[in-house]
Amino acid sequence: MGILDFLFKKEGKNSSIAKERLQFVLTFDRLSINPALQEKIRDEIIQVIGKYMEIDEEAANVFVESTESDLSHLIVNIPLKRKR
Amino acid sequence: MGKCIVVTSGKGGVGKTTTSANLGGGLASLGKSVLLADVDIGLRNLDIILGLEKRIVYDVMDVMEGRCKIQQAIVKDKRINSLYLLAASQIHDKSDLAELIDRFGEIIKGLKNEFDYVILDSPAGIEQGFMAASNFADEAVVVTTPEVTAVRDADRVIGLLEAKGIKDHYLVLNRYRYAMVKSGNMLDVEDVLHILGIQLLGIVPEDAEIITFANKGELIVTSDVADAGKAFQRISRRLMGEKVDFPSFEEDKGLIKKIKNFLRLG
Repeated sequence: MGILDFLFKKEGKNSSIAKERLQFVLTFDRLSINPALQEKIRDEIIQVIGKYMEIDEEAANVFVESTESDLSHLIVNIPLKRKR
Repeated sequence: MGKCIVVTSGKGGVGKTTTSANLGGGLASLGKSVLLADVDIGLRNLDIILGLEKRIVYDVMDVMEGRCKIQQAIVKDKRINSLYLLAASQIHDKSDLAELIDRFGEIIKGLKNEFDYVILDSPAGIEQGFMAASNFADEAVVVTTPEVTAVRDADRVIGLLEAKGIKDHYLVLNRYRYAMVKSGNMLDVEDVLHILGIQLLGIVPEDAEIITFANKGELIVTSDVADAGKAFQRISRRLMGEKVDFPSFEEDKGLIKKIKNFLRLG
């Protein structure tokens, strides 16, 4: 970061916290789902995949992501250990 | 045929009534005939903002229930020619709601033939009052402040307006504090627009004069001195389709950018 960026940088991070938190709640609001349901989906997906493959449950991740476009995506990221 | 515009927000206390009144006053000052209708049944406020509280004899409920003619319930503003008010009822009776909403729609239809603009001051929330007001609107003005609660509720309202097929909706960002935005302690206008995905109609800076004008029952849009008054004048012109710059904010930002770029080159 250059010295000029430093000089002109907004002092606090307060507004970016607000922006991040808003984007988070709005993602769920717009889809009419909640973080608990996201957890439930995650657990069930892991269960199904786990029947056929050995997966790294700790590292498995399922989340909704809002992109710049209007569409939200359900991102499913499940690391596999090896085939059973 | 006039246009019906609903002013709404979801969250209460963000400046819906102030925006409705000053938008109406602004449009009327520009020569348009405007009817302001208070749809906040049980909690009327447009009358006191306009300083017309002593002149209300009949209200919208009297019209709907046949106790008077529509002409008897419309009150002319004291100061601005071509500005008129239809007050909400203070009494909340439990008549058949669906039927009332139908009758309300008929009234709006009739009013659109008489006025250039019919502005509906929607109640807070997303209940029947909001639904009734937005049912008959051609366009919507969504009011919010740069606070997480207000922006979240505005998003909800925008979703509902879109579901109702009201595609022309614009944002008024109220109580904007340039100093707080500059120091990174308030959501800036671009953040809010990006999050909500809505067209900006205008920014109203935080201005203590809003309260002093309300105290007197006068509209701040009639002031050429108050910052919020000038902001509402610009907003009214934009609503009529005029291209009006967003002055102080853009100048401010542009200057900092220019200095930054200049120094970077050097």
